[in-house]
Amino acid sequence: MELIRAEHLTKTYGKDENVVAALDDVSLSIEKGDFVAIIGASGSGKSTLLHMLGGVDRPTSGTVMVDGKDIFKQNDEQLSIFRRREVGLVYQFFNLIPVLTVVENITMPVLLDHRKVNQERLDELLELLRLKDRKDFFPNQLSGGQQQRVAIGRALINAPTILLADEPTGNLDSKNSQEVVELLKYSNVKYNQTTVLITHDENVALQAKRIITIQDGRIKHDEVIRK
Amino acid sequence: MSRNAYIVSKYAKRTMLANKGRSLLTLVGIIVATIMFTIVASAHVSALDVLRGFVSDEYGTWHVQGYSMPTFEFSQISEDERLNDVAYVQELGYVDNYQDMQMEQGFSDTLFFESGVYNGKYLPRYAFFFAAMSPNFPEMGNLRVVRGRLPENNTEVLIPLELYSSSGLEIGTEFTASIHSRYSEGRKVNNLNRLVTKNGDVDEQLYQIGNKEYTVVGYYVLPEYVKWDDFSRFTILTIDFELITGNTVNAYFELSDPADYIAFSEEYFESDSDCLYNKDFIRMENSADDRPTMQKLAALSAIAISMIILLAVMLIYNSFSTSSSERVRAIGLLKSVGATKKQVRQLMCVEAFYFSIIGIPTGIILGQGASWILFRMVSGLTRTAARYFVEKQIVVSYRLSIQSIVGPAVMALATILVAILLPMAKVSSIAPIEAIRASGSFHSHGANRRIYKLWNRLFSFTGALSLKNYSRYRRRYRATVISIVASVIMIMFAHTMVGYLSQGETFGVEETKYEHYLTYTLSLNDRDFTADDRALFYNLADQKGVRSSTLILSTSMNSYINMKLTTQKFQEMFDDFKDSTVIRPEFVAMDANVIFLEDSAFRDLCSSNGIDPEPYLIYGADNCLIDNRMYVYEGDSLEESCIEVYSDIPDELEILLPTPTSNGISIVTLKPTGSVEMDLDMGDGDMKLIMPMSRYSYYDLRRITGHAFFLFESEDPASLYSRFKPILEENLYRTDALEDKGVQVRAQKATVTLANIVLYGYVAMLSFLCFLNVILTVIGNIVFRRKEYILLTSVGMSRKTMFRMVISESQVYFAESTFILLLILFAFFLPQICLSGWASIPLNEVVFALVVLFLHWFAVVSTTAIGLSRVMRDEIVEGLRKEYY
Repeated sequence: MELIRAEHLTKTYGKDENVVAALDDVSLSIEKGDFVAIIGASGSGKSTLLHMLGGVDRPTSGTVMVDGKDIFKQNDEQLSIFRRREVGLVYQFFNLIPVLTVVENITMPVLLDHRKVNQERLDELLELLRLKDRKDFFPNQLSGGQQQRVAIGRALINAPTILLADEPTGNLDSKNSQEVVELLKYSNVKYNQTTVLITHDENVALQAKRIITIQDGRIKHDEVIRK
Repeated sequence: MSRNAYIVSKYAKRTMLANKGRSLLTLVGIIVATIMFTIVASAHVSALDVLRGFVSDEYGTWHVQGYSMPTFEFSQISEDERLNDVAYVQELGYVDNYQDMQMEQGFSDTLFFESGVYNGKYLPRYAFFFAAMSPNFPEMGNLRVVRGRLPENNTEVLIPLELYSSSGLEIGTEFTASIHSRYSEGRKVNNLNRLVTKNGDVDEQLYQIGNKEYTVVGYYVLPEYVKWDDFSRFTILTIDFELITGNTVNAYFELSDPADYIAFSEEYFESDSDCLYNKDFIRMENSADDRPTMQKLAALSAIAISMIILLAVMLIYNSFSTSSSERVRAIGLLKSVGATKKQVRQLMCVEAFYFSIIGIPTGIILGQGASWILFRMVSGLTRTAARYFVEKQIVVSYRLSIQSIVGPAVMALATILVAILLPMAKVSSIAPIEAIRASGSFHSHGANRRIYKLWNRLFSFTGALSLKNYSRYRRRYRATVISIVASVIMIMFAHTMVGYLSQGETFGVEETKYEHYLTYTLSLNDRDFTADDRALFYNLADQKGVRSSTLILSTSMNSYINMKLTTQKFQEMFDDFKDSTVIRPEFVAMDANVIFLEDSAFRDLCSSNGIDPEPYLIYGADNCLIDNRMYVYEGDSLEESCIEVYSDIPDELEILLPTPTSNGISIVTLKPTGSVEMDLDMGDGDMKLIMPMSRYSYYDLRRITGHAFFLFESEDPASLYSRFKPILEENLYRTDALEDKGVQVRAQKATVTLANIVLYGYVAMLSFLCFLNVILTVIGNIVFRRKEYILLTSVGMSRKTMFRMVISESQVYFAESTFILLLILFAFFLPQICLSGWASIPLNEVVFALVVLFLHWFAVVSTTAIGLSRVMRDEIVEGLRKEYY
């Protein structure tokens, strides 16, 4: 069942002769529960594509349909709610709020949504992320791997339909990288999430079900490697 | 607390704690601004109290007065629900002449020579007007009982103070008055009507309505607004608790809401001439249509408050703007995980809320304390200044009022809200993608390469980098430049203003050595200096606070000066005065004051001038001391210069004084043999001849124009003045002859001190806000550019070089501040330069401005050095990795 459909996505920066196309007429479709890896060289446009799929950045032209709805037809408020409820984002540089603790960082999307934190789910996540004994720590008191696990926790707390990860292992050693990928795979299966992952690491990409290669803002390859 | 508010509040609180320096400076700024708002509000309330006190002291507290109203009309109006209180003075009747006033010792008939319908038609006034007042009239109408007490029933009366010395009426005197009513052509004439005349003859009659026995219980002074005694010479007031039907009343209405005064009057009075508004009092209650005094006061407060708001807004805006710039990434991140614009705005609001709940109450409490201290400091000064400049007794006192609590709170809150509007709009418009893109690296905007090249050559690479940084952070530095310029201009303004006020000529004040003296002048025209006068002197001299006292008797006499014995200059000056037609063509006749000083004071005067006093103390001697400085006016008016001329001691100066002998009075000649200087102004004479008091009785100086001077020295003449006044009133002496000799000088000094306290205090606090703003920018800059500094360290920039770079940046914006200041100064002096080709630039002020500028620069450099040394303590790798917001 198709969950995400992007059509003729274009994103340009600059003006006149200085115009640069980060994405150039990209169209793709992603099934619900799929695990997609996007690979490509630096500056190829993969992060831009990911941000558009998550409603973080708006395209210059083109549409992104999620569950049949054009997300960019929504106003800022609705788009925020979409990001809050339907999307989980994980970044290379963790992007945690340094003044909030582990639990506060993880539960932030729920609290911003004026909802009560599901304690059972939080405990389960803390257990899964092995952060139970670190729950009251601040980000600067954690290692890189632990910080990334907090970022994943924040992305998963709302049980989003879509999990987007922008080079989540780019800042980690191989052991921590593998742990993070295992977490993403586990979550993909357990919660039937649609996961889109950007990586430079071929080993990480090979653990996905489908690999999309981007070059110069266009899709060069799109290959399903496992069902 | 909702879950959303919980996370937003937690984030805001922790962010504030994480940026302690910025938060603390912002909080201090809010507290200082609130303190200033509170002081201005308290001062405003106090000024209103003072003005209100002025007016109610003079006019009473009524709002509308109705003239000669029929009793039924008055009773009807008194029922009006808009009224808070009503007082009245009701006509009882008239006494035409002294035969109608019967008392044991009889009236002095001199009272009646200008009163009554004397012999038919002379004067349009009756002798006495009798009236009954309501018990609340003295308070509402400001009737002042000078001596005695208020009447307690309708058989007791108050009489005007003027009757004390001349009528024979005293407290306790019982008298019977034959009271009449005025009628003309069969109609009753009320007390506001002039004498009715027809073809120049009186056309009204008095009809006796009865005899009434009264006892005098006190003396009163009427307030100036009273009109009902215009058509009789004296008003005698009793008290009555009930109205007498048929007699008109003058009614005084106090409204619950003074703003109703016009509607109320229009409803009950046909024309404006039937009533009178207590306009000044209504104005002070802020309810009059025309309220220039209130508007001026409000405008002054508004200007003072606008400046505070402006600078406080700049400071808070700067703080929040810095904060939002620092948190672009964090806010973008929050948005990427679903925070809405509203939620992001809430972050700022919550932060502002925390600043408000801590800063505003603290500021109000401290502000009330500061107001209390300030009012204690200025209370004495305002009293001193007001006594001379407005001739009023002013008591400026602190009063805790609802206006001085709510007003500052609202103003501070509004200031904070206005200040955060822009930063709030800025953060809410941050796109979530910023969170991912912002890498902490720095970039330069377009650069003018030629300038940088030149700069590089002049100041090396560090200098060029400073200029680039300055261009890059120009907007950030703008707040600093504005703050510095504003601060310097305000301090210069205060400096110049106080300097101007300190000059004696600003208030037309002359120097005097009698700054700490009080004098009381008693006219001795047609009367001798009596035992009562002497007793009064000793009574006053015994009062607490009198350091020394001197009794001086002075008489103006003619003196004849032999011109041959005077100096050339004296002769030139007085050539015109020589009277060649009279018997003594070589003499000039001049006024002289013959002054008798108490013996002890005379001895002091002699010893301070190196003269042996003994020959002058011999009873009947013909010698005296002379102060022969004469003042001659050049030109036609007093405004033109007045010069001082000394004559030689003319030992053949003749002063002719009468002395009693067995055969009557003979004239003796007095010869001055010692010269002294005595600065006290004691009469119109051109020169002063001084003798000891023990020789006073040798002469017969009664019925000769003269004065008695009481001279009192005191540390605090102002307090002594207040203490003497009731004593004089109590003893029924004139109070207007009491003079505080140093009141002018002290008033000026007090005004200058007041100006110093108020202006410098105000400007210092405003400058402090500016200073906080500058420091805030410095700290914000260091925090904002922390990664940049660490990065520069990582590529090999030494601590010394980095420090030099940052100092160079501050030099650049101080150069900009100086340039702007010079431009302002130039604009200020441009008209003068255009008109006269040159300008008298006040060098002192310019130097002062440069010193203030340097002090700011020094503070900035010190703060930068401290901040930078903290940054340099960070480990390079850790520092580059760390998130700073």
